[in-house]
Amino acid sequence: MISGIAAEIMLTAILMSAAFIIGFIILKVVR
Amino acid sequence: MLLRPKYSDIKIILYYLGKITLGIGLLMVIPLATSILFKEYNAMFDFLTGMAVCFSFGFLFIRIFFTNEDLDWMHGMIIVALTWVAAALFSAIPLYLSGHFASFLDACFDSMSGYATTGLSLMADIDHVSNAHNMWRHFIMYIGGQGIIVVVLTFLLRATGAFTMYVGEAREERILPNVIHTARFIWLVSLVYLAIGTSALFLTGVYEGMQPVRAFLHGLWIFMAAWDTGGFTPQSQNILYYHSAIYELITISMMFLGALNFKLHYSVWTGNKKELIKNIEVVTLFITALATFSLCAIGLAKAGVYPEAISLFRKGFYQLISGHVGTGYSTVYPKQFVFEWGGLALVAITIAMAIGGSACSTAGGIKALRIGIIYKALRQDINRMILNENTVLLEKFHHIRDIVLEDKHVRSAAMIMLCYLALYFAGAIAGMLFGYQPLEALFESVSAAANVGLSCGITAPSMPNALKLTYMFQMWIGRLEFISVFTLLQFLLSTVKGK
Repeated sequence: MISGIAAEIMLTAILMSAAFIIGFIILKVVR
Repeated sequence: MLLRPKYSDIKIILYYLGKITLGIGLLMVIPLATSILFKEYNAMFDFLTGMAVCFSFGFLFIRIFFTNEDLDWMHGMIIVALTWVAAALFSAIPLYLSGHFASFLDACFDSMSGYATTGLSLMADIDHVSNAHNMWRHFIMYIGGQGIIVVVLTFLLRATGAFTMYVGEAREERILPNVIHTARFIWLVSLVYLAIGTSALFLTGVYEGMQPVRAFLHGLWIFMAAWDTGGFTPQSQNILYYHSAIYELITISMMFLGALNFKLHYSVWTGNKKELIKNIEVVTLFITALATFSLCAIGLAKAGVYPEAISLFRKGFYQLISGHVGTGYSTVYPKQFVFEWGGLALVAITIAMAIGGSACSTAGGIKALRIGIIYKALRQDINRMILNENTVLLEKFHHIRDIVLEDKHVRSAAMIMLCYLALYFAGAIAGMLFGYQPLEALFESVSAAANVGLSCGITAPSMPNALKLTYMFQMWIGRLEFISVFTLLQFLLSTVKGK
């Protein structure tokens, strides 16, 4: 159960990191 | 040909409705205990009154309509549809008595919004609501997210025929062979995350300078509404009130996890972690979230609202993911959407809200599973055009196990998607009839129907009563995914036109 919870939280961290990188690139390109 | 319902049909529906009304009265024990604990005696009488009304109706219905007959599919569906209306009406009593609502209709709007885990609110002066009433607002959201029937199934009702009601509440996936065990597993996941989420938010609150008791209550309430993708908050400034990046990261995590399928939680918790990267819903959610965020980020970058990447992420991604999973927490003011964010970002959030989270989760909207299935079907049709017509094409999708895509999956997904689209546009037209701008009307309509709760400023106590009723209807039918409400409407029609 605990490793399952850790994996699920890791999933949200990956999503947030991907979104941050996309946001960073878009800001650079649009500017 | 419609058959006129028999008295025994009406009797069994009202008998179960009585039981559920009794259950709603029992749930008021939680805010009642809160009012006693915090010596809020005015609030205590509000909840005693609410309980008295629920118990009176509950016992009366059980006594008058007592029956030993078992439920069939039609009964189950109608009970579910009526349960949500009855729950909204009875739960609104203590809210209305709080004095924070201009009318009983406004209180009903909030309780329907709570049960449907929407988060739109007409409450006045939220910052000075008693702890007991805040507990009730967030608790009904928690119950609504779990599913009222799941709550009642777990604690009150016998199991016979229970699956029909479980399906009617848009929870057609049985995780474990027995529906009661499934309901208990859903509670287990939610309670484990309740402990983790509340502790994390409590510690953050204390770290940010809140008094421990207040930090605990806010942590509990914010968790309940985040996990159940609801969106009520104890402060009028929403999550912006806390001015805390850690608070925002925790709430993003909790609302995203709340939008995952309970069947997926079961699979991952029992050791199948690869499911997290293979499941069609997770893959679809990732793609749609990142695609809509890209659109939103382009809009925000063009508008020049957030010049730094960190602020673009903190504001843009928070509202986007909050809208996508159907929570409705925000860190911007409603009017900022209209006056600062611009059309493109608003459209991106509207699309994300319309898609929604996972099936068999606490989220609303069309659902990632259906979007994934329709995409697979479209791909299959395109491949069929390209390849030799004699080639046998077999398209599969992975949801806990590999499933061969069949016409019945596509038909069901497409039908519900069409219903949602019709509901979104009908609400938008209603908004436009009352003079609101098309994009704002669509945004607010999607927010209500997909049970999100983000607002661009239309939802206010001063809005027309007809629009309040429209949004309430959208929240109700959107949360129950149409079928049980359509069954109720057909039942009502058959009482008039049946032979």
